[in-house]
Amino acid sequence: MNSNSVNPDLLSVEKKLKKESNLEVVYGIQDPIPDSDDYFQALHDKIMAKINTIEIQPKPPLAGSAHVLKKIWNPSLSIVTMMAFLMTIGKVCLEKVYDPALNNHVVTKYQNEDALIDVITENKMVFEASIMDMPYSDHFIERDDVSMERIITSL
Amino acid sequence: MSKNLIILTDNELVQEVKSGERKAFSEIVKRHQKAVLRMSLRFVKDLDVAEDIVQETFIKAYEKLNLFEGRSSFKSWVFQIAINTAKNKLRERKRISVDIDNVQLAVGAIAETGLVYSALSKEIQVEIDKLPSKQRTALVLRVYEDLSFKEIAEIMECPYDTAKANYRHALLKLKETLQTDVNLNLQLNATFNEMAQFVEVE
Repeated sequence: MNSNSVNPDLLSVEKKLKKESNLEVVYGIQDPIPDSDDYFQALHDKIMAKINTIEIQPKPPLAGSAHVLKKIWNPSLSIVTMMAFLMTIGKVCLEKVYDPALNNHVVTKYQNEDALIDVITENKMVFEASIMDMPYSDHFIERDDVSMERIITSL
Repeated sequence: MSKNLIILTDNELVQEVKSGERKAFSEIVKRHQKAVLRMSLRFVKDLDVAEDIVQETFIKAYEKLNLFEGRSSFKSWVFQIAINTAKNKLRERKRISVDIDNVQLAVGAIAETGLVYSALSKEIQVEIDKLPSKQRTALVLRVYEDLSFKEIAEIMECPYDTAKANYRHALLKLKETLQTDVNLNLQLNATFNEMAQFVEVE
């Protein structure tokens, strides 16, 4: 055993453990592993008696691919995969929270612009009660909702 | 003329078994049964159960021999099977309810043997049993089976550095226990010395 591969301050612990590793002492068994050849011959015979009644199983067809998957699933790859997984979950959550109607609003607004101008030009009261009553401001978002120029020119 | 199986490597023996030579497996069993038994005993602490594990391990190894492709050493592969079998046995044992009378009888039987146990060894074993499964496995394989970290990593199916880290953490935890025990022994020795002096004076 290459002891240099362990931190030097832990070498003493390793040595102590080896010294105190006596199975007989630890488990209170007088002779936990009989050292006689007869004992191991008997154990070997028991095993071989069973081996002689069984057959080697054929290799499962997917055994090779399972091993390849296991092999490429190293820690760095798993981190990348986990990040991709978390990003996907995050994206799904955001999409749930974010109302898609907000996106569609812009499209709908410009699709309905002509109809809106028609309504306003036909019902000037509505126009006066809505847009015209509102104070003009550069920051005022409604300014962009309907092209003011088009309304004014159409009136 | 039959081949001399003793001179063949493990991988060569496996190839022989795969080609239908059952006697080659007999040589494999002879080579590894003792190490597997010793390691199993470390986990289950019962010779009969450890023997069962050895038998089950080699039967499983024989049945699944086609899955062994020689990427790791055969010993590592067999140890991996043995550890998994031992863990299953321990799980089974936990499920079975323990009869308290039997426990008392067992303790009594051990006490009657009159063996003097090393308190430190017992203490160490208690602490090893408290370690998380991965750390304990790494420790047993390294200290008691003298395996390299590469082999331990193969058996535990983890990267080399993880196997080494598990072993290091196990040693760090045991270091505290050993340190405490050394201090306790020093205190006890001092007390005994004082008592001896007191008796002499009396």
